[in-house]
Amino acid sequence: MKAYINAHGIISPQRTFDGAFFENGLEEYTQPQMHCIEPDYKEFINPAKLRRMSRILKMGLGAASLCVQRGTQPDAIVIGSGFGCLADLEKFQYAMKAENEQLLSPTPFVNSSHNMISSQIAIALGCNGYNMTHFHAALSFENALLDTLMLLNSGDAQNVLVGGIDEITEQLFSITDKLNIWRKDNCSNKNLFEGTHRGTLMGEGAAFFIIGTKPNNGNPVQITGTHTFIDGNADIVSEAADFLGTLNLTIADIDTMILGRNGDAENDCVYDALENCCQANIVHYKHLCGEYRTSSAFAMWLGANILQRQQIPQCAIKRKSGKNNYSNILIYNHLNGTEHAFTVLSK
Amino acid sequence: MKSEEELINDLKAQIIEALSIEDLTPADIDADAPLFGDGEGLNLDSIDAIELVLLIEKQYHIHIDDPRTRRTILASVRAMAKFILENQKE
Amino acid sequence: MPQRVFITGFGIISAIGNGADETLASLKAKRSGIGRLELFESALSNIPVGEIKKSALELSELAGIEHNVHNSRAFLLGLIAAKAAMQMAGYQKGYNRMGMIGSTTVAGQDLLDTYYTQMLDGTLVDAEMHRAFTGADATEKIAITLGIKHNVTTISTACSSSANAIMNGVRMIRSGLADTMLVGGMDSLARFSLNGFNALEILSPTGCKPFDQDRNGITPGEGAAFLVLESEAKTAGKQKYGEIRGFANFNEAYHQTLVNPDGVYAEAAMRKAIETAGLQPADIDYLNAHGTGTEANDLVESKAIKSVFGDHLPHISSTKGFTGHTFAAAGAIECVFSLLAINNNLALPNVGFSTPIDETGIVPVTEPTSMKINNIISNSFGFGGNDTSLVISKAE
Repeated sequence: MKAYINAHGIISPQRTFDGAFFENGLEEYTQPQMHCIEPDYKEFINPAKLRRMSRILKMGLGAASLCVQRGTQPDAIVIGSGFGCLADLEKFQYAMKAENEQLLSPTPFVNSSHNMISSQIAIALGCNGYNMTHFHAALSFENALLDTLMLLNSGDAQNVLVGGIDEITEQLFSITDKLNIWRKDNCSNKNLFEGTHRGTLMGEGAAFFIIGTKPNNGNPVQITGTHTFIDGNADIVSEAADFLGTLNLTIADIDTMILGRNGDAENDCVYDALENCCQANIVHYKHLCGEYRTSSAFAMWLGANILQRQQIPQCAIKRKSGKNNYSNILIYNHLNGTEHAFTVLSK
Repeated sequence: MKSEEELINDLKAQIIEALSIEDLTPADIDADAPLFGDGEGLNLDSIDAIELVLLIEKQYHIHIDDPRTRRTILASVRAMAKFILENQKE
Repeated sequence: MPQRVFITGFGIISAIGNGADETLASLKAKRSGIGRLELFESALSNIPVGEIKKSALELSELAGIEHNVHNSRAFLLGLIAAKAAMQMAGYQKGYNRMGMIGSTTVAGQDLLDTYYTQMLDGTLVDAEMHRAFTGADATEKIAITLGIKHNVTTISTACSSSANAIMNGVRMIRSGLADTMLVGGMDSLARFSLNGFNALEILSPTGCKPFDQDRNGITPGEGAAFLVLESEAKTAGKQKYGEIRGFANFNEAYHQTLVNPDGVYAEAAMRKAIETAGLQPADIDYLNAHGTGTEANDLVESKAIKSVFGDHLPHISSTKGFTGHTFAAAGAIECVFSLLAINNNLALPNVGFSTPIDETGIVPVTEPTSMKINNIISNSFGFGGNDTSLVISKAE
């Protein structure tokens, strides 16, 4: 069985929802929070369906709707989110304390349930099939993707909507900023990888895909495999080789790697060994979407575009090798050197 | 004390805000149309009913004890206004 | 035929006890764990709950670890159950072909409640605490403690979470990605969920009465259960406690919180679970219902049960009158109850019932009933219309 990316809908800090990013180039941010450039949802979603929805729910339904417009109606929905519907959780938590547990509005509680994104999309699309939410930090998207591949493999679904989604909230920024995770020097995302620094830029996004067992176009991109593991002392090169081996590939077969470098020196050194063990083109993406738990869904969108367009956007190239034909891309991302995720895309 | 019509106008704006009905303006809401029910009026559901009870309690300081009276009190914007006028303390 | 997947170990902790023996004794004696909230302050302390009467210190001791402020209550409950499951299955540690699927709705909420304000105003700066706020942290700490490295995930689909974790563990093994999966769920009582369900006006003021005409809402509970699932090849020479033979998940696509009054997808989930098990409705001996005790759920579930089974109803009960509704943990806890039922040939009683629902007339089992049990169906229906049914069978 093969799995093809038959449509994507992506809302990110770049102008990606309508593809203008590829003409306009990189959107610059000089604050440590990179918020999504959101479309006017009412232009393509019945406003009645948007009622009672928080921003993340709108982003999710927006990205899902863009997918369905460009692809097919899915028969299953699988979502990965690292923090889920965080703004609503914060809102209910705050109200509960402020109002001493009296007269609380139920809406933020309902919306804070982590599976509300996949449920609301199911309601809007009328999709009664399998509906799942993976909620595991930086592995959320790949776990959702693995679930998707299993559904297609077992014949339980032919077209699956899979998405990675997270939102920035002021409170999340405030707490994590005190943990010194974000750059404090107004560094531009254009210069994120210059010099040696601690800290990175906070991002968010909703990157959704329709994955099908049959390609719906003449220029298909295939998801060859995905794998996650937890290990604070991992040998990334040997883990990558082991994983590629299960797909009958070697590191030499990989012409392009998309790595989750974010400009933080301690974070980025984890990528060095993999980058140095081969001659592949090296692509980075976190200056485009910022750092967030499901940013690797953005990386998958970028990878799919590289394979289809046979071109790497100039702003995403870290190292260019002599390989100008793109056929096998390895995406690797980690969190805190503990959570690791690989995905392979092929032409 | 506000007139029924003034209160109706206030309520329409408060309902739009409390239920985040972003696609409507107060002028779009018919004060006599049913708020609940399939395909009728605003087509509200039981979560909205809880939100409207909270609205009355928080904005007008009127507590609705018996849940069974809700459907009558919340039948329309006008019914809400009448209930508030009858129960508001001077 | 798809590959068979067996259960070789399980662990459980809930308001009616820690471990299989205590749990079974309570079920047999109809000893409910529902009572007063004692372990934290809340404006809702008059609401009955299914609380585990053990402090964080006592739970740490049961889990065999040092007390640490970064450990959420749900994590401690999960670790106790997961360790017991591993030990029963004969594993000291995980191995390369073992994965884990945890599930939770509010893991970390107790820490969030206590430390969030301080984290926000900066009087507490603690990266580990911030990680511990999220549900994934509980799963990940259990995985690390038990040495499980590959294919670790957390599922959060409200009240069907751990039923889905079990289903997906079976799918992982059948797809050849793992030979052994540690699967289950954990949730603790927290002011957050108490207040949320109170805002939705579905908390029972008296203690839940599943399938009763005068039922008046849910009773929140807490607990955890984990199971070790293994491929047939891996179970050679091992004691098998049951088989996950069928499963199905549907989405009602109806409303965020309200159940579809026709119950069509609850019915579809049961039908497909029975069909994927290669069974007929008549083969089901006992049905462990979702049975939360809300007006809507129990009526709709009753209708769906009648549609599937017609006049030949299996023995039916909801065990939420014992434990309360343990949310994400409910599916796994009730799967363990089902294993106890199968291995002891005992249909479990439904406490809190006296009068059948007018419209459907379903009378659940009210006394522990000895009978031959080969196949059980267990229902878990969650917020967002997430309907899952599992078929659990005697291991042959």
